[in-house]
Amino acid sequence: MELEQFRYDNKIVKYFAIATVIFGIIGMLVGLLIATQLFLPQLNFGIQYTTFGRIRPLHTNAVIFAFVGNAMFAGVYYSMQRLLKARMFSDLLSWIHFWGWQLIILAAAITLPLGYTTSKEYAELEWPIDIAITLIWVVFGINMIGTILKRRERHMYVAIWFYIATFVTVAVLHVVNSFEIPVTFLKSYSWYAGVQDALVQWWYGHNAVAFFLTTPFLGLMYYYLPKAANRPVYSYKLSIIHFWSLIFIYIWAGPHHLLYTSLPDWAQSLGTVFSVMLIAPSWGGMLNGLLTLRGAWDRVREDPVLKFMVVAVTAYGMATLEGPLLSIKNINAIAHFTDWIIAHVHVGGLGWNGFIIFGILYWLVPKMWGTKLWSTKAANVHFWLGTLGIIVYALPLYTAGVVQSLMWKNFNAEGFLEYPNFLETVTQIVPMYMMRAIGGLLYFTGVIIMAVNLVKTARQGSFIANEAAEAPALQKKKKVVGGYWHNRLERKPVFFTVLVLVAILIGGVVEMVPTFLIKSNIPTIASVQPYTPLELHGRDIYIREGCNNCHSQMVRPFRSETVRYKGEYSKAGEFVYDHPFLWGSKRTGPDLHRVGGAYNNTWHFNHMVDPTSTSPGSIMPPYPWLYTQSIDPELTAGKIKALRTVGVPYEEGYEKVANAELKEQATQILKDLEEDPSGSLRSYEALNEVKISESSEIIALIAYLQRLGTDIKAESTENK
Amino acid sequence: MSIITHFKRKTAVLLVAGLMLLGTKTYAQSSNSALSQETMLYITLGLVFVVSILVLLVAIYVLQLLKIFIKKEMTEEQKTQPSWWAKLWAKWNAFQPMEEEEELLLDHDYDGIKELDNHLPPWWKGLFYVTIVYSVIYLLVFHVFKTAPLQDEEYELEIAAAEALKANKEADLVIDFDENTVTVTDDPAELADGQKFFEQQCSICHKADGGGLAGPNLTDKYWRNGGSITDVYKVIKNGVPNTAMISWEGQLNPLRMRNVASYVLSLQGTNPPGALPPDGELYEPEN
Repeated sequence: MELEQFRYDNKIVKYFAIATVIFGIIGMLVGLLIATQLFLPQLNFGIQYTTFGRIRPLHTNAVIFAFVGNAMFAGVYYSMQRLLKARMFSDLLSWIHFWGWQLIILAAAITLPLGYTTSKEYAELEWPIDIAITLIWVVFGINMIGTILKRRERHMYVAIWFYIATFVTVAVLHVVNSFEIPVTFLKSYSWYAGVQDALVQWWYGHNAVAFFLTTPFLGLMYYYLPKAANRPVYSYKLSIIHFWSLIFIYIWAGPHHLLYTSLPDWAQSLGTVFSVMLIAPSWGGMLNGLLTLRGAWDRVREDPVLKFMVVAVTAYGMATLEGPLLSIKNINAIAHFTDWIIAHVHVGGLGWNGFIIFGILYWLVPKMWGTKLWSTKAANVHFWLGTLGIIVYALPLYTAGVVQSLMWKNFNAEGFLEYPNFLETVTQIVPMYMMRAIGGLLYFTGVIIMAVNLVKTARQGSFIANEAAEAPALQKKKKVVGGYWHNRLERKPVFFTVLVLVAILIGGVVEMVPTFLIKSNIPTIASVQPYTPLELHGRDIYIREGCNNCHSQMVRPFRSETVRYKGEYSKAGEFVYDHPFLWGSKRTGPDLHRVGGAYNNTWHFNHMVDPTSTSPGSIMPPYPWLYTQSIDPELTAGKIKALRTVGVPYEEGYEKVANAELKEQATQILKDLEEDPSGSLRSYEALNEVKISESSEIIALIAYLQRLGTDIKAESTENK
Repeated sequence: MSIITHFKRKTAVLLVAGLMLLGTKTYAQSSNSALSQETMLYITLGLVFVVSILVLLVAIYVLQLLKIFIKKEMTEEQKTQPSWWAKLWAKWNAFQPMEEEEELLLDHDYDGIKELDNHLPPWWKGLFYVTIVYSVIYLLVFHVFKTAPLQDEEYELEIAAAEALKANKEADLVIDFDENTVTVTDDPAELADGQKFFEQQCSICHKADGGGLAGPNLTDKYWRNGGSITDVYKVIKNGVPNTAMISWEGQLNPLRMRNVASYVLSLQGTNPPGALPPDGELYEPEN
């Protein structure tokens, strides 16, 4: 058979790899900054754009979508061409993909610090960027499927199955979770409300971990690990079973992020059991990786590439056992909302994603530049710094999580909370935050060493932009019959893709459709009313400042929480007008769902000026800009119309009187502040030479905070 | 691999020990307010840093030692013999001997990557089955037979248990007053009891010295809801609607509410530093 000559495109891989390193450094640096802010809040430099609530999303987006994302594309573009014996389908699409993705990252880096956010975790980017992501993702998909269709290899290798699953599922997740109604060019409200929004968000959030951080990297593992070890993959059967079971089961597990919340019980239970059933499929990947090294362990001790990969796969195994354990409700009751979860995700992020990316880069760069690694010694130093970094990062946070959770829950013999002041439970773990930052610093140092090593390696070699290859053409007409049933699937990419789509749709459909359609899942509470115009503005400030990054709005049905937060536990019916939901996932500060009415307006006024004035020792930063910036009443009508479109029952024409109501409510709050015997408002105005008016942002925020969780109180008074 | 796990375990133990040390340190320091918070912060920061560097060095050292010891202990024969763990691992995975690997090789070749046709590891298959069985039982127990409580019921049980505990404690209390006839106690033990409770719970809003934070200053003569013993007792017992002052009746027995009220009144005129300005109406006690 005649051999066809063609060339692999290495240049696109090079660009993605460079972007990986650059954004890795930036993303981790932001991580280091926010880790430090947790014990030195002054490190926001008093600027709103560098305050924790705004740049925590910047950190997560940068490391997930910029660092890990670019690494994924680099790894996929290199391996896919070789596994399919074909150049990428279209160079143009490759470059649109590359530059499009970098522009999206740039847009994220600009909009997030400016406070343009949807508040939904790992989906914070606003609607125009969401559309751009969709388009670029489709470009990636066309390029991938196109390459698969013009392949010279009849069967698709397991890595390709994982790439297909990644493309299909991320597309579905992103589109469904990003349903939102635009208010302005960079502001939108989630299409879904409350419990439904939470379910969709964590279906997305959980599976972003699954299909952005896991499946593509399992695919990459299946290429780079056997390549680096020069060993055959341990078990083809295991690949098949763990691939299908993994993608089918993963999609169901989202509700484990919402245990003991207002999500219906049946959905919570599905989240738990599917997480537990996920242990074996996840470990299938780990085993196939580790057992592939059978007979090559002596080389693991010498080759930094393999060392990184072994620790990566081990960390994957640890994180995927820990995840299901955290999904068991008794354990979740302790770990949820604490730093335990932060430790858990960083074992996955730093260990699995980080280390496998480093391994791939150390392998890839010498290959593409036709040379040897500049310094194996430096790579080894990186390895040890990274490993120690992970340990020094994770252990203090595990301790912090457990210590704080037990302090939250502890009742003394007389039946009172042992630590009724939330702040006590924070100051107790501040030393752990310091340790964690040191762990992060160690890890980061390793990355810098790697960057130098890779640059030096590239300098000493010469880049092979187009690598010559040859392979016989695939004879399209030739009928291939027989083979194992799965073998047959492997040569039908379109059918394979459809099967993947079906597998990943089932779980989501079973969980979401009943939650949306069956009323009894979200019992109505008559006294729950839509927000007033001023409260809406306040809520948008709450979202802009990212308050939900540190404060939950979900009092769980535990005695320790209803006593601490002085009210009923949160009910599903209370959130029906919450577009988006703001339950949060971490309590660095106390829960705020019952904060309405708990303090007077002046307390909130003083607290936002300087949190330590009302709560000595607080690690929350001051928010002085809320006192100088004003809300824009012009936007009120747009907000109300948008919310009405997604089902909030504002009467027709309400937007015409809304600003009058807004002013009235603001005047009342301002009057209350002015009349407070403490004179806080006056002395603040005098000291800072500002004038607080009805349209000051702080007034709107106070209005929102005072409303939080109070509707249900009206109900209980009526019932008396 | 074994080196890595060894290393991790050692480091883990050391780190946990280090953390415990740190935990107790800060705990002890929190009662000693002679040093400013900032100084404390930097001392702790320095300590944390020194400890982590120490841990790092010790860990590396221990690792090296371990490696040397293990190598020295081994005879030539041992070095070639598989360990008990390796044997067990081989058995659990039903490994084919490495020499027979050729027979398992499939005719797959993807850019030089070959695939073996090994069986699924039996223990892994077992694990998968066990998790599936667990899941079925879990759903049956919670949603079909409903023999285990779901979260709402769990909450009710928790509250009921707490109530029962309290009821038991209060069973033999003798209460000879109500909110209208309550009088100030001057028994030092009872005042101390009131003080303890005040400092633990009330201080969150009223400050430990009563000077006021979110809640009003309790040390001056100005009161929002009256300053007599019956007034203060009522506020504690019933709370104040639309404020953060909740009703403590469900949680405190009458004796303790009297102790707290009496302690609050004992703060009159203490004039603590940084107290909030007067709020409410002037109340002069009748002699």
